[in-house]
Amino acid sequence: MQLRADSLRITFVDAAGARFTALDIPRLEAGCGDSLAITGPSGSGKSTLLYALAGLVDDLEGNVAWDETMLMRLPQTARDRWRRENAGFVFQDFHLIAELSPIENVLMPARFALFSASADLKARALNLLDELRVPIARKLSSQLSRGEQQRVAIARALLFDPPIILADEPTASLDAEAANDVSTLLTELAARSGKLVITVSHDERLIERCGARLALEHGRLKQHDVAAVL
Amino acid sequence: MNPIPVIRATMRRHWLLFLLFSGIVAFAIALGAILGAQERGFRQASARAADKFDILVAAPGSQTDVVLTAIYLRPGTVPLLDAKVLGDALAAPHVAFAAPIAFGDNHQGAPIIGTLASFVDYLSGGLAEGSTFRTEAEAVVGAASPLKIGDRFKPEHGLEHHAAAAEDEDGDIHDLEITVVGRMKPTGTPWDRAIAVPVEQVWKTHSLPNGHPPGDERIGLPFDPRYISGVPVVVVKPDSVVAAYRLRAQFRGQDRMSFFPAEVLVQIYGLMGNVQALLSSIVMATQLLVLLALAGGAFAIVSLSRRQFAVLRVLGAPRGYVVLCVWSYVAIIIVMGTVLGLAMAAGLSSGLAAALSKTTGLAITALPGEAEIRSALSTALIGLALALVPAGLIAVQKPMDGLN
Ligand SMILES: Nc1ncnc2c1ncn2[C@@H]1O[C@H](COP(=O)(O)OP(=O)(O)OP(=O)(O)O)[C@@H](O)[C@H]1O
Ligand SMILES: [Mg+2]
Repeated sequence: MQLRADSLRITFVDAAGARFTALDIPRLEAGCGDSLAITGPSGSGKSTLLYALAGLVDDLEGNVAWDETMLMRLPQTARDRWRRENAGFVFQDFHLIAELSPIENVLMPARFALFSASADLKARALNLLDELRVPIARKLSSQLSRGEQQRVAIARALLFDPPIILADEPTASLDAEAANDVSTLLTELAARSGKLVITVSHDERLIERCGARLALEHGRLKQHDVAAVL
Repeated sequence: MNPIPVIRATMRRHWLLFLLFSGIVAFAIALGAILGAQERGFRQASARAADKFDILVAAPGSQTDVVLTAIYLRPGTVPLLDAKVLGDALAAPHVAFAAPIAFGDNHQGAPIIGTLASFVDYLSGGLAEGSTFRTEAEAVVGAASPLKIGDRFKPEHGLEHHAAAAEDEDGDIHDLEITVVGRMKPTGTPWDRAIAVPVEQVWKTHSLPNGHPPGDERIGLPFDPRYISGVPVVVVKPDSVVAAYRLRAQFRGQDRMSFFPAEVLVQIYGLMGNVQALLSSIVMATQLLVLLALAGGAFAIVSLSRRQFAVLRVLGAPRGYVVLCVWSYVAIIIVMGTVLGLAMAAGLSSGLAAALSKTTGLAITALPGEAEIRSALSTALIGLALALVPAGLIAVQKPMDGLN
C-alpha cells in the first residue's frame, strides 16, 4: 500500500485558549516494505502524526491518500472500516482488555462487524499467537508477562493481515530482551511480508533497524530531505 | 457486531458496582410493584367483602361507621334502629330477604353477631360442616375460628356489660353456655373469625323482647311484630336491580338511613386514591432518581474505561459499536434489576398481604399483577432510553483524547 500525504496541518487550542500548530508536514510518502521510524522529543507531535495517518484526527487539514483512497474524504464509519481492514495498531501500553483471554483479545477487531468470528479467523488468531510464542492457555491477558502482552497486541494488529502497521512506542515499556524481540518482529514484517511499518520510537535499537527515520520537532520535520527520499 | 466480550470485561472489572446498581434498580422497582399490589389487593378484598351486603339500613349517622361495623366487624358504636324498621323490611315487597345484624358479646376477641340462620347460610354459600343454629344456645362459627363443632363456651362481656349484668335479674341468660353446631365456608371477610348466633340471643342478652311471645322458645322467622326489638343494622337484599334503588329510597327517613355499601367504599377509595396517587408519585420520583443516578453512575463506570473504548475506536470500531457496548451494559443492569425487583415484590407482597389480612380479616391477595408489571416495564423503558445518554457521551469522545 502506498502512502502519500500532502500539506498536513493540525492545530490545537492550548489551555490558555491560544491556537498552536501541533503538526505541519508539507509532504510524506512511503510504500510497501518500508519501515519508517518517527522520532522527536516529547510533545513534538509523533503520536498526532500517527493518528492523522490513520484517519483519527477529524480536523486535519491536507490530504492523506492510501493508494487511491482519500482517507479524510470518507465518512466516519467508512474510515473506521478502512482502519479495521487496512491498519494494525500497536500501543506502548499494549491496551489489551485485561479481563479477556489472549485469543479473545486477538479476535476483538472481528467483533466490530460480525457477531461471531469465522472458524478461519479463529484458526488464524491461534496461529498468530502460536507463531508469536504466546501461551494461549492463560485465561486472562493480565496473567501474561509484558513481552507476551505486547506480542498479543501485535497478533491483534495482524488479525486481518493489514498492509499497514502503525506502532506508537511499541518497545517503551518492555525489558531489553522483549524489546529486541518486538523490534525484530516489526522490522521483519516490513522486510519479509512487505508491509508498510510506521513506528514512533525513542528506542535507538528499533530506530536503527528501520529503513528511514523521520525526526519531528514542534510538529515540523527536522530533516526535510528524509521525507523526500522516502 | 458483538459487544458481549466488552460487556463481559466491563462487568468483571467493576462487578461490585454492577451488583450494587442492579440491586438499587431492583429495590426501586420492587417498591413501586409492592405499593401497587397491596393497594389493589386491599381494594379488591374489601369490595369483595361488601358484595353480599346489598343495602344497609341503619339509624341516621355515619355511613362509614355502619359499613365498618356491619361488614368489616370493626368495634364501634352504631345506634339502634327503631324496631319497626326490621318489621317493615321483612314485610316489604321486592325484598329477597332482610336480616338483622346485632352485636352481642365476644369470645376470645371474636365478635358474637346476632342474625338469622338464612343470612349466615347466604354469606357462607352453604355451611362447610355441621348445621345451622336452631336454639338460642347454638352458634355457627366462621371458617377461621379456632372453635370446633361441639365446643361449648360462655360469652365474655365487656366491663360495662358486667356492671349491667349485676343488676340484671334475668341472670341465667348471661350464664348461657353456647354450643358450636356449624362452621361457615371461608368468605374472605372478617366474618371468617366471627361467631354467628340467633339474633334472639343478642336481644335477650340486652334484656330486650326477643321477637317472640314470652314462653315461645322458637327462634327465627316469623317474628311477632309486637315483640321485635331494635337492631343497629338491617341488611336488605332486593330481588332485582330496579328494586334495589326503590328499596334504598323507601328506607330513607327521619329515623333511618339506607344506602349501598359501595357508595361508602367509593368515597373511601377516593380518599385512599389521593393518598395512593401521592405515594405513587413519590415512588415514581424515586424510580426516576434511581435511573438518573444509574445513567450517571454508568457514565462514571465506563469513563473509567474510556481508554479502552478509545483503543477500540483506534482498532477500527465504529461509534455504533461503542454505543452498543455501553448501552447494553446499562440495559443488562436495568433488566436484571427489573426482574429481580418484580421477584422481590412477589416474594414480599404475599408476606405483607398476609400481615394485612391478619389485621383486617380480609382475604388479601397482593401479587404484582399486570398493572405492576406494566409499570415496571415502562420504568425500565425510560431507563433504557436514559442509558443512551452515557452511551452517546462515551462514543463521541475522540479516540486521541481517550488515549492521552
Ligand atoms: N486533543 C488535543 N488537544 C490539545 N492539544 C493536544 C491534543 N492532542 C495533543 N495535543 C498536543 O499536541 C502536541 C503533540 O502531542 P503528541 O501526543 O503528538 O506528542 P508526542 O510527540 O507523541 O509526545 P510523547 O513522546 O510524549 O508521546 C502536544 O503538545 C500535545 O499536548
Ligand atoms: Mg506520543
